[in-house]
Amino acid sequence: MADKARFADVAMEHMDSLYAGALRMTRNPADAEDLVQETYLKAYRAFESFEEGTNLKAWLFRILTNTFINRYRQQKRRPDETDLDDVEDFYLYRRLGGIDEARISKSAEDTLLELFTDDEVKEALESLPESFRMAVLLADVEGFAYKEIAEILDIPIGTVMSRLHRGRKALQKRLYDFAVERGLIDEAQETVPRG
Amino acid sequence: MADDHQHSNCQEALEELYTFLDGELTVEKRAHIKRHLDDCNPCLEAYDFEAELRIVISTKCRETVPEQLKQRIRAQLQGDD
Repeated sequence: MADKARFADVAMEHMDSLYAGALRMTRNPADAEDLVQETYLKAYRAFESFEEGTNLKAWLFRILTNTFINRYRQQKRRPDETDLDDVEDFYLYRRLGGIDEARISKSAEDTLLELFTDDEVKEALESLPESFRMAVLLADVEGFAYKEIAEILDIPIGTVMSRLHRGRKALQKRLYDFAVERGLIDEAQETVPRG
Repeated sequence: MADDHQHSNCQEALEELYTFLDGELTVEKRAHIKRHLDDCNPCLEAYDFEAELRIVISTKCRETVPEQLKQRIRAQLQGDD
């Protein structure tokens, strides 16, 4: 049983992560602040049920996602799996000419990734349908294990894996579209412009 | 035959790329994939790219919680007892 008096000491350090998660989910700073505040209050009140030795950050994220789903989600619960176009695996890398034939150099690839702005990467993630966004956020931004994500979202591990699979492809497609829009990649040639 | 063998190893390596990067493979399977990557530059480059992309995504999505929100939450918790 966790001691409530210790809550602030152990939970505050995760607030940047929770706030980042809340921003990606609500896409709105005011709602994100409310969501984090409500999450911390609920967590504090329920802290005696937190099992010491288990992952506190995962426990906080579970409360955050549940609160988000119950309170902030506008649309009805509906499977949004169909909202995603099916695109190829490793979409971005393939479009850069990797895998089949290396058309650009390793340094050009790394440079391209660095050219994405913070806002573009955030927007790409936020463009994913909710259930995919949550899975990708928890895995790729927060580094949770499949089992932890399954517990946070209360879904089977197989569902975690399929959401990650499809969500990551869609994220790569969005990033690719940004790169084309900004002229970082020449779409016709699917390669990085020279000079 | 040698080419076919190489190709099926590549296919396996690419299929397991995310489970590898996610740290979700068994020790044996991980070692098996690692041996392939030691020998296969195209697969290694694909792995490197995806690993780099992962770092870019997590780094660029970082946020710092506003100081006033922190203070508001601390005050709220103290007032909740």
